[in-house]
Parts: sequence; C-alpha cells; structure tokens
Amino acid sequence: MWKIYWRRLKRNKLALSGLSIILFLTILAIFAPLLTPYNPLEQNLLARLSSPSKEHWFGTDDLGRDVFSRIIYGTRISLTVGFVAIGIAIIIGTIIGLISGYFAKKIDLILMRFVDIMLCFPAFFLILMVIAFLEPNIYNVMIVIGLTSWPGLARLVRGECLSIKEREFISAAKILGLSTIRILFVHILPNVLAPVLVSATLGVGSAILIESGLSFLGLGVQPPTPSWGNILTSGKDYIYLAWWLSVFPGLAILITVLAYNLLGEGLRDIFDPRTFEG
Amino acid sequence: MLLETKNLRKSFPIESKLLRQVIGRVIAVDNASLSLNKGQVLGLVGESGSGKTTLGKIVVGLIEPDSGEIFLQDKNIKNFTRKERAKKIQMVFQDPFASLNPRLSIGTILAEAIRTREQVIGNRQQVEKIKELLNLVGMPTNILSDYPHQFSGGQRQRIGIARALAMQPEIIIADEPVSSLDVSIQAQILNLLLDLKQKFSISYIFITHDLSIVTFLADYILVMYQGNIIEEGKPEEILTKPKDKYTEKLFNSLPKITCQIL
Repeated sequence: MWKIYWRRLKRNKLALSGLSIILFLTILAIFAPLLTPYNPLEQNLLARLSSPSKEHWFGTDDLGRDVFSRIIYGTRISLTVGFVAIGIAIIIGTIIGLISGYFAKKIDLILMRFVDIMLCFPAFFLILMVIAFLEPNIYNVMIVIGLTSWPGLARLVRGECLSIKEREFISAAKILGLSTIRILFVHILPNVLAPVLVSATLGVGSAILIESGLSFLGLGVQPPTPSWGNILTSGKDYIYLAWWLSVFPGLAILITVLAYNLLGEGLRDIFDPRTFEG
Repeated sequence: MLLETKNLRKSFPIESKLLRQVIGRVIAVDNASLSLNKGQVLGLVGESGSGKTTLGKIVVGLIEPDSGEIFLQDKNIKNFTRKERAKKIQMVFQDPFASLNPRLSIGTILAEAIRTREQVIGNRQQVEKIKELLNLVGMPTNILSDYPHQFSGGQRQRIGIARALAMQPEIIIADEPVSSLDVSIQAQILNLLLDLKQKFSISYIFITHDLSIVTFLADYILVMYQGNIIEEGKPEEILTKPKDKYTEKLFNSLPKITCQIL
C-alpha cells in the first residue's frame, strides 16, 4: 500500500515541491551553525540597519545583527515548534478520536461536546489567554499550541473510526478475543493514518503561523533568541527605513507555510481512494 | 451436546430521525432455540432480514442477546472468558474483501490468531504453524509478507478460514461464506470446509440463503422467518414434506431445470 502512495507522490508535482522545500528547510535548520556567516546574536553597532549587501545578504537589524543568520536560526524554532506542537496534537487527537469513535454512546457524547466547546473558542485567543498566565517561552508555546490543535484531528479520527469499526475484520479481531487496546491500535489506527497525516501536515503550517504571531506579539520566543516572529517585531519600528527587516522573515514564513500546505494538499490527493488507479 | 441456545431474543431500537427517540423496536431474533452436536453441520436458512446473521453473531459473541441463554458443552457461556470462547467458536465471514485487515500482512494476520491461542511460542515455531495452516487451506506457504489486496476473493476466503482454524475451534459459524464468490470457486471452498470438518471434526453453523448449498452440506436445517425458527428437520424431510407454507414457498423459489422430452 505505502509503495503505491510513494509512486503517486513521485508523480504529484505540487506535493513533491512542498516536500523538497521542507527537506531543504530541515537541512538549513540542522546545519545552521555551518551555513550562517555570522553568529545570530553577535551585535555590530557600527553596521546597524545596513541594507542587503555582499557582507550581509539580508541586511542587518537595529543592533547590527545579521538578518540572514537570524532567519536561518529562526528556521530551527519554527520547524521545532511546528513538529512538536502537531506531534502533541496528533497523540491527543488520535487517542480521543479512537476512544470516542470506538466506544460511541455516552463516552462519545461527552468527548465530542468537549471538542465542540474547544472549537467554539477562536484558537489564537485561547492560546493568548493561556500564554498570558504562563511564562512566555518556546516550550510553553509548543505545548499550548499542541493542546489547542487536537480537536479537529479528534473529530476526523472519530469519523474514520466509526466507519472502520463496522468492517468485518474488526468483528474477526473481536471473535479472536483480542484486547480492545490491540484492536484500537493495531487494527483501526493504521487505517485512519492517511487522513491524519494530511491534516497534520496542514496543521504544521498553521502551528508555525501561530508561533510567529505569538512571537511577534512578544508572547512567544523571547529575544535575543531569533524567531521569524520576533525578527518581524523589530522590523515593525523601522518599516520605512529598513524594509529588509520585515520582508525576509515574512517571506520565510510564507514559503514554509506554503510548502506544508502544498504537501498537505498533495497528500490528500495521493491518499484519495477515488483517484486510485494504482 | 456441544452447543445449545435457549429462547434467544434480540431486538434493535428504531430511532426517530429528528430527536433520536426510540419510537419502536424491530425484533431480529425471537425465541430462537437450537442445538448442535459434535461434527454436525447445522444449516440456517431464510431470506435476508430473517435474523439468521444476528443469531450467528449472538452465538459467536458479537451481539449480546436481550434475553435467553447459550450453553457451550453444557456450561453457561457467561462462565467463559472472551478468550476461552474464542478458542471454542470461530467465524468465517461473508465478504472476504472486508474480513482481512488491508494494512496487515498475511503472516501478521495469522500470527495474531496463533498467539492468542498459545501465549508462549517461539518465532520459528510460529512460522511453522502459519505454514501448516496455509497448507491446510490449500494456499502456498511463501505469502507471509504479502498483503490481502494481492489475493482473489477465493484465496482471501481461504486465508479467513485459516485464521479461524488457528484457534482450533470446535464450532465454526460460516456466515454466507461463499455467496460473494464465483460459482466455480464456491464449490472449492465448500469442499474445503467439508474436508476440515472430517479432519478435525469441527461442527458448523452454516448461514445461507442458498438452499442448494444447504441441502448439499447440512445434516439438519433450521428455517428462519422474521426472527423466528419456523421449521426444522433433516434436509430430505424439509425438502420433500415442508410443514410450513413459508418453507414450501422458499423451496419452490429455487430455479429448476426441467427437461421436456419431445
């Protein structure tokens, strides 16, 4: 099955371009110290707000720090936040969705009403509220984004689970006397993985966007640690003087989120059984 | 007596569309009593919706009956744990395309059953066991890492039968096991089931709407209509002298080939 998906992925240009951008960004993040010409925290007050040049590809900020280096280091933050937050969301969403879909009845009713409540709140304000109570740092940001991103996934998994549990191989597993845990995780879970993967990929993009937003507001990653969001904040004050401070981190966010969305949309087509021709 | 059911009854609620209120109940199985001896094939016939599948699911433990009792080897089924019950009663399903998990390899599917039966078993022993099972159902033994979608309906049904056999059950409930197969394959699968019966003296409850199959296979026939067992008896009795009008209608609906000598 996965072999077929891989073959289809290779033929899907959009997904492939998304995937290559993400791989490229991941390499940038891993090898950041080797690829950056300057230390992202090193100040050079003589070269404040210098425009993009051979020495400073993306120019420098108000403290003379190299924007290119800061953006490359910012990749680490963004990708980590995206992956960890969505990882948390997948674990919670999948478990709640499986339980809700499999046991149905009262448990389902309670869990899904809770999901409804979670979905009623605009996620960003919920996160803002929670962060306001906690200390704003990258770990809290990851956890809070993760804890607020699972309801959609839970609903998705529940729906899939409801249809799969009626299939005969689940009856067969029950008749074999297998434990409920084994039925849930060995028999149902692998069958709901495809839509979860699509939704999670799209989710990484929005998690990165939320992190940037929080950091922009000063509630995410704290300076001097560079993140795309807080580079943007420093650019805000100099937007007429130094366009490069806002444009480059903005482009970085745009490209990354776009890449995840392309991959997510591509995966959706790849996993779609209606377009299944082998 | 291997298996006996007494006055099993099961109804399902009918819910109104809008408020999901229960506005009535459909009786799927009403007062069903049957008994099965060792090595016997019990044919359960009836049109769709007559409750035969529900009755099968109750016996195997997929559905809880509203009332009534099931005795397995003269002990109430409530005294058996799920696993103990699984070692006695297994099921072969109607749709071989839905009854095997598409994401698990054939080896995994069979290993799962074997490991439920025998908790402690070495890897090599397990592979031996799987190959033995595949041999029994007439499948090649080099398919352990293949996936269900690589096989035809008949082959999948054989794998499904192998999975049931892995538990070394005394009773197999066969719910329309051949109705979704080609006619040529049907005979092969039916013969396989009969062979296994002779080898391991397994008893079957054979659920079907196909009367030609049931008269070929069964030692004893139960006719179900609207949840009730309306008639029972040996195949030749029921075929020649049906007591109930419905049975007569059912058997008359069989397509007949009549020869006319000119």
